[in-house]
Amino acid sequence: MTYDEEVKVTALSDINLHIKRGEFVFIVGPSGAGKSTLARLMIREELPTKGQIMIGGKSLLRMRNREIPYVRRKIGFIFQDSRLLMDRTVYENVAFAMEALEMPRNHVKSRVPAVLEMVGLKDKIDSYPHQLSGGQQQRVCIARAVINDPLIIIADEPTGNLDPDTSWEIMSILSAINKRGTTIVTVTHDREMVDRMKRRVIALEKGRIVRDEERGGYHSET
Amino acid sequence: MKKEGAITVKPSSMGYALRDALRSMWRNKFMSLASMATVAISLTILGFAWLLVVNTQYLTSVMEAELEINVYLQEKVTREQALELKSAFAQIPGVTETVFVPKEEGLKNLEERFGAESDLVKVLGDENPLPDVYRLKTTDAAHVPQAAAAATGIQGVEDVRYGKGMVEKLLSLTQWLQMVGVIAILAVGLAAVFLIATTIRITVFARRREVAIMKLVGATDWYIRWPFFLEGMIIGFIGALCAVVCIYLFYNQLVKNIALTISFLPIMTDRSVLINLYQALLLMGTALGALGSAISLHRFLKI
Repeated sequence: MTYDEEVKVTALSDINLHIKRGEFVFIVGPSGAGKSTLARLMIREELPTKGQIMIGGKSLLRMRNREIPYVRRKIGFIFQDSRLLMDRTVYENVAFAMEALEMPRNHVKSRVPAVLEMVGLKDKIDSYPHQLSGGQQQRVCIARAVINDPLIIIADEPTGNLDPDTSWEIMSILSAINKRGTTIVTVTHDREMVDRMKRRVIALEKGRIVRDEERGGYHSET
Repeated sequence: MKKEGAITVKPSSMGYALRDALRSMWRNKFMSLASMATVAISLTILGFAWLLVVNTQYLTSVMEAELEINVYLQEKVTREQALELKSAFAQIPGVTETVFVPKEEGLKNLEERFGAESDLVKVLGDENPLPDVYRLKTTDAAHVPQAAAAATGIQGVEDVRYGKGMVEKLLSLTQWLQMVGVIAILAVGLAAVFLIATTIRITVFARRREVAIMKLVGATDWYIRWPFFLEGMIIGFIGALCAVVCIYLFYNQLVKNIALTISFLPIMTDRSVLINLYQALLLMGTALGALGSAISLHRFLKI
């Protein structure tokens, strides 16, 4: 069985975008440029009025409602506001995503601690989100995003509220996940980060792609 | 391959659903208790309405068994003619039994009633003043008035008597009680569904973040729905259980008291009928809970 790990988006404002399997892509641009809309289109939270969106050769548009869960299982999400459940421990927050996919309890029990160790939160397993720093909360969110082994991770401003050092830690974790073959799409306006990472950069402005560079910086070098 | 859109989830997920349902009930314990109480009160009223209907039916059937039409024949009718009339009475719709009581037997019955020592026959001067009588029984009380009317029209009939008025009153009372019972059942059932729906709506609202994340990570709609359904069903079932206990205790006491004080009033004590009622109430409570959940999920979860 093969899964063609390609993301192809043609959206509202004449966008033609092709993301290959295993790529690490930054989507940058000023506020209101359509970065988050693009991210929401990729997870089928919104539908384009015209055009086509394909993930792994499968159209997101021509899809029955009951098929949506199975597409989303291939995608992990990370949000700026982490979206953790405040009344659940770190363990429960991550286990929650596995339970939602109806994984057996013993499988959950062995996998959650392993993933929490990977993001460096093993000692916080029974803490509640409010007992954690912003960076730690974001790591819980990453753990939740990767727990079901997604093929793609879409991160919408994952370092938006964090100081530069913490942001760099988060990006290192995402890089490590990318090295294992997971495609990563990060929406950000963190200039330093983008310049330092030297990855593919897609710049949006007023809903259009104004630049698409391999190993680019936040601003065009020319 | 996993079947998409299936109602069922894996057994292990049922464990998660039950845990989430109980957690949610505990978090909204006052609302859950209020809903259970409403279901309990509703189903108790419903149970008693039903018992009232069953008992009037029982009362009617007991009285029907004793109801009969007395047809008095004219004096000029000969014995042969009288015996021939039997088939005419038997043909009246609804009539199940025709018993001929000749006037000699009627007099004997009368003598017995007055006592063997009475000199009734002497007083009457060996003359039997009683007419020949046919006693008719019908399938049920509803047929009595028409059967009586039909009997009146037959040649040779002097007079027809039955518990006129009493039968009609009994009938209209039964019908009225059944109607009131049905209306009460509908109204009370609606109230219970509405309250459970409100409780589940609050639960859905309290868990909207969880639901959003579940949808995002790819939980199926049924995985998301099950905890809410379970919550509604548990609330309905516990409420129904309270109602059953309440009805059981009260009805037992009522039967005892009636047996002691107004023993002539027949009261239904058939065990299997009562057990059926209890089972029906438990089933209904659970179903009301599921229905209430379904309404709220449809309106507020948009799945």
